[in-house]
Amino acid sequence: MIKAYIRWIGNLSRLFAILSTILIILAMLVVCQMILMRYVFRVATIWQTDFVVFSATAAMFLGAPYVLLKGGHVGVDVIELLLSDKSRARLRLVGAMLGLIFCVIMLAATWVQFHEAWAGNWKHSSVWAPPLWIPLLALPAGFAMLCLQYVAQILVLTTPGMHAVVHDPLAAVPAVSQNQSNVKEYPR
Amino acid sequence: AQTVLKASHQFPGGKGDIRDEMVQMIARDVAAADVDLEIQIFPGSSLYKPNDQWNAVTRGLLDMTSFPLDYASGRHPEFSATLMPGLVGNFDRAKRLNDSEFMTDIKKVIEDAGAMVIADAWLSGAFASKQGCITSPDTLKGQVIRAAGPAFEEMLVAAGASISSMPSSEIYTGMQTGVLDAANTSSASFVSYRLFEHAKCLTAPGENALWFMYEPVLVSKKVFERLTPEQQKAILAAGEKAEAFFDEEVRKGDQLMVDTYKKAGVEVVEMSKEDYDAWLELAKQSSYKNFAEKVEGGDALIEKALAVQ
Amino acid sequence: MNVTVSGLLIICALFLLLATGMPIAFALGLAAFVALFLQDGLQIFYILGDTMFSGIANLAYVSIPMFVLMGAAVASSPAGADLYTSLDRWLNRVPGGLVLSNIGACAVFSGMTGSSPATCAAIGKMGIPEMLRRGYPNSVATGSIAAGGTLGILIPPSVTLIVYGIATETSIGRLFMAGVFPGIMLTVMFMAWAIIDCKRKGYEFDARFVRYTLKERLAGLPRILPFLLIIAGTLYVLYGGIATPSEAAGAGALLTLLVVIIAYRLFRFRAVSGIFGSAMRESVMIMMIMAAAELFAFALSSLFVTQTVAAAIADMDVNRWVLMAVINVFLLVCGMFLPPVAVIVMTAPMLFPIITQAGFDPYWFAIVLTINMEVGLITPPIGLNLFVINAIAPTVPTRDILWGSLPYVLVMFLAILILCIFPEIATWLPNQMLGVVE
Ligand code: NA
Ligand code: NA
Repeated sequence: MIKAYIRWIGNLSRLFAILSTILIILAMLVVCQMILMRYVFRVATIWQTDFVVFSATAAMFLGAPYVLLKGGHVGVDVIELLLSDKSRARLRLVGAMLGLIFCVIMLAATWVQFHEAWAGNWKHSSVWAPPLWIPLLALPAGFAMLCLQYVAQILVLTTPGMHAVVHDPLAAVPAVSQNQSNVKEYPR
Repeated sequence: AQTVLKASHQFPGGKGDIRDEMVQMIARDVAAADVDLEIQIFPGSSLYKPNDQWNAVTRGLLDMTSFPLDYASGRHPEFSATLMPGLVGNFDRAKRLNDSEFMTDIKKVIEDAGAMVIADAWLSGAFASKQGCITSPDTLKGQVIRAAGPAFEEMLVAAGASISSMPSSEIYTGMQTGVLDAANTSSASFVSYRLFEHAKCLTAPGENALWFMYEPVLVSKKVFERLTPEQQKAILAAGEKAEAFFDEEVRKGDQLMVDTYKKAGVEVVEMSKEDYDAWLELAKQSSYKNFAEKVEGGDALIEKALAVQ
Repeated sequence: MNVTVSGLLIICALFLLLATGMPIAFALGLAAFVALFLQDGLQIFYILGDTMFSGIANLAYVSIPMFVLMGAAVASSPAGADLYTSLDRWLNRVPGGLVLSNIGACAVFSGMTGSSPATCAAIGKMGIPEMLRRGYPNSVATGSIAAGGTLGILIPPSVTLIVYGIATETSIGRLFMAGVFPGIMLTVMFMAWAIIDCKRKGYEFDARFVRYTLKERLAGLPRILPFLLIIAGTLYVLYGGIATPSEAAGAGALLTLLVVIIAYRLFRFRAVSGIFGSAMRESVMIMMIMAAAELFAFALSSLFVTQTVAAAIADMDVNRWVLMAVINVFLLVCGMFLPPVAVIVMTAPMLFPIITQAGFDPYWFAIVLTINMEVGLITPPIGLNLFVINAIAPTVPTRDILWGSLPYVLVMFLAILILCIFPEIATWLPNQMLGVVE
């Protein structure tokens, strides 16, 4: 039961991560399209700036749960290193609880923000004027997912026999864990 | 005990920007009125981001702000009319506009949202280009321009210009490297960002100015209603004085810009009545039209503004 | 509540939260929430979202994931190894040649990414094992990579300079230019130290006895070509009147991806998705910290703490260089505990008026601040580069990494000193290329 929850939440976070990555790629492509249109064809670019800003920003909030899953949000581990295994586990639990509290608070706050934008039909003040609720939706979605991911972590920490993956520094490192096979033998 | 109010704006503090000076003046006058009221100023977006000030002031989290009203046009589309090409024309007309039916409507929207105007302020702006003088609409054709305000962008696009959006701090580098051919921003920014080093021609506001932006000093209604009658009176009096101060100084600012650019060897022109009318015609087909479509009662609002002599 | 008391309380709360090891981003956010809630009550729920969202929803900030992506593309391909190999063929007979190759590779790589941890990881995962294999001591191997990696934020493009540019409304293109010569200077100083250190200790390694023929040396050069292409291409977009710095980042990322994918034939889905995955993870980490730092900065400002500290610094009736020294110590302390972006978001708007009032060049100051932040990257308790090295070389004790990095910290102090004496090192290029700005 617990295992199933943890697995499911992990997969859901991965799904968000894929969405986030796609948004980053789209932002990159649209920036290039904008430069091309303006520099080569000298035509007006109306929607590109808003699109790029909002998709990249939304991507950051949507990607956050996956980064939590992978222990990629850096934290201070100095105290942890000084403690015994048992106290370390307890400290991690406290940290996870506090993280959960923050994410719950932000879930409430960003929901209020999203709901106002939706109900008030707020637009971004630009020529394109996209409805603000679309990018703002990423915030409550991201924080809700962060809450679920934190609950999963707390379950991992409190259920005996489950290995915790909190602050795995390797995950924070770009591409360290991947492509090892690509590294060529060094000439001696 | 002393009541402390927070005032926020996005302009540099203590550097002589008139909008900052307006708020400082209000703070000084309120303190001098001796009504147990203190105003703390947070200049240069040091508290709220420019766009976030509206939400904060209408909710009563922020007490006072010098705020470009168009920034809130995403929430109240009527506000786009306060940064609409050719709706103001010159400073004397701006003054008459303040007491018109048009501004009564706008201020009603502001009050219903939870804020109130204590000092009116219309800021003028100019155009500058590396290519040549921007006068009639066809002089802008094919140029890449950074414009201030969506309604302006709509009109400039209709004139055949290409728009590049960037913060005003990038305009200098933009014009220098050639990303931008032209720029449209407030007279104050034209001086402080030293665009005369790259501009060939400046179109000064003069009698037929296209670009005007409404940047009043707002007070949160929630907060205002909590104050004592003496405190309220002190704030309103200080606002009125600041408004008079602004009206005088803003004209000097335009003159300073013209002098600076002339001294730097930049050609300085103004729009003729015909140029202005041509732009207005273009605006009617683009920005005004979009505004009327987007905003309920939008065409009536524009008519009221145009009806002012 | 008294400003000093509330200021101390919020800082203490932050430290307590950080001590649990929770993510820095959430610790910053939670401390800010508590302070704001005590001040304004439930009302603040209306602005928390606005503050975090508009804190990072900015076209210039979009360049951060883009510059990180550039780095990830190179780091996830054999490009880093090639760069490093080619350099080694030229430098292997110099004392400590491998260390020089590392630092040089870090410097070149810095021209392609805005992030220091990315630089560290890209060069380190190749460089550290190789150095250890050739008998360099732990401290020399890891210290040089940790320090060389910090060049990532000094040599343009740079994430911290972007954040500074937005926070202080200065031109990002100009800031990038200001970083070029100080970046080269620091690279040379790092290299000089490495030579002195290796000579002093009389290190003799196998590599000195390996001889490469001129042909072998020349054969390595074409492999550097893709890098030069990427750097030249991005610079052209940046300063050739094609796009603004924020937009150039997107073009640079696409260019890098194309070059890397084509040059190394990375046509498999796994390889490409690995690049994007790691770029996404690092960008999210950085941007979450920034968004939360916005919230924290808002809380500090709202409690009038920022203004009080700024007034206290500004009111100190001291020589402007004493003032500069005080500011540097303040930044160093901040940098030890927080990542660069968080420090800049919180302190730049406060320090900027003081700096300009005292007659310092804001572009020059950005570079001094950046070198300060570089120090923070390799000092405990939070040093992003240290985390990276820990991950790449799990067998090396943290103590060795710290001992190895320490001399480079001193070199950075020296660099700050030199910049204070000769500010032109930073200001000359932008003034020359873009004209003097008052
Ligand atoms: Na860099
Ligand atoms: Na540190």
